[in-house]
Amino acid sequence: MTDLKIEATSRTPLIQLSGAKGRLHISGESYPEDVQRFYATLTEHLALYFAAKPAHLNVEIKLTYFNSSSARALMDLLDLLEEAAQKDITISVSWYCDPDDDITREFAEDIAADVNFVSINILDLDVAAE
Amino acid sequence: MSQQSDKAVATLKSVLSEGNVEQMRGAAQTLLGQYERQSRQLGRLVKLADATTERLMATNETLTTLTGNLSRFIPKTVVDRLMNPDDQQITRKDRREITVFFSDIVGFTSMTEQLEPEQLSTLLVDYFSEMNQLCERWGGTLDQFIGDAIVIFFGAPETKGAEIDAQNAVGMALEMQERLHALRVKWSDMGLSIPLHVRVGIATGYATVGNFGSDRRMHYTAIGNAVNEAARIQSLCTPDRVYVGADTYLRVRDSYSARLREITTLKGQKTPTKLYEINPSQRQRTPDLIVGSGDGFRIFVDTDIIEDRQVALTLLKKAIAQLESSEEPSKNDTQISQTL
Repeated sequence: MTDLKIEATSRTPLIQLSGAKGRLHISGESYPEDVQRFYATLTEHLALYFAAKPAHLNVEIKLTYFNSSSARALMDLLDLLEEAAQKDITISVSWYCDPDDDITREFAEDIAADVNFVSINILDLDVAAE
Repeated sequence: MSQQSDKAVATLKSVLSEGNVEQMRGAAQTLLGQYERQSRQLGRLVKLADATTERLMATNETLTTLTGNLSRFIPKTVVDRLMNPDDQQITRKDRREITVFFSDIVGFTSMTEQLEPEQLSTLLVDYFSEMNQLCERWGGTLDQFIGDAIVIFFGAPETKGAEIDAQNAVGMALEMQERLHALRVKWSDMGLSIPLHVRVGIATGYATVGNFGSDRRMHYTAIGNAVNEAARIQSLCTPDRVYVGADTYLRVRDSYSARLREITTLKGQKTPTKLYEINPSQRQRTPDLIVGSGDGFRIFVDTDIIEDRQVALTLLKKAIAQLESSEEPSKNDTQISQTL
């Protein structure tokens, strides 16, 4: 079973992984007390999903705030996706950033410039809707 | 370090002790890959941390400016409370014993007719700034300026106890009258010969204190009989003096001497009340202010605002030397007084 749903809290984002739809959604704020432990659950489920050799995965990131430890976890996640994309799984990431938040946008752009197999699209986040 | 890096380090350690050259090469390459990945991540994190720090510093600067500007519109005691996010006291209304200060300029309307708008503006900015400064120094909450009137209360949001609050209100009022005397000398030197005199009334009593108004615009104020009483006592006060009601007198009589001036029934009250005049010689003189004048001399020394102490000292020494050396006024007196 690869499906996963972690409800959002004031410190952690909403995470939804749907194996059937090939969709991963992350939204909210991310500054968990134990970042490694929090994102380990997602990593484990993704590993299971990729082991089944799916055709694709569409990732949607809508984080309005994340701390440095979460940034590290996001980079690890992107490395994992890049690794999977090298094995003929089509992976596309839609990374929504607050138009007024240059820091997050630059961070996403840096990562996008470093990956070769994952397609990363940086889009404007509708902050009012989040 | 990530799990992948841990695994790469462990593998290399293992092949270094037991493996062959080919295995060592493979493990070293894996570790190198991990090192490059970590290095890339570190670079991004440092960049992210730098940008975040820069943004925090800019936000901090904005907050400092905002706080500074805010305290020009809202009493400093209230701003201090608003800065504490856990403090809910500022948002609720309390019944408190407070001491209210009410002052009004004598003949303000005719003064506005005699002065040019620019002169009036200079005079009022000077007056309100000095009074506000003293209010902050004595820990009062500046309620509002009503035209030329000033309303200040002690005992909310912070209280030092009813007696100390009342004593601070009286101490501040006396110092205000003293400061006004100095200001009159200063204004006269500037050519503003209109005398500005103030009546002061102080009353102590219970009031409801808190934020009043709508949910979008609020004003921290006090509502109660003490406020009205202070205003009415003020209207009966002799200019340049400080009158207090009976309840205030009871709380300050150990610190300030006062004489009974009147027994009267204030508007809106059913029973007569005693009004006391605080002895002005009891005022707590500030060590940084020297004011005096007489025939042939005028002195005003405020070490708080003096810019060039050396020039001031030279002039004073010269004046003292001249006064000591001659019993009669010397020919140079005019010159010194002009320079002073």
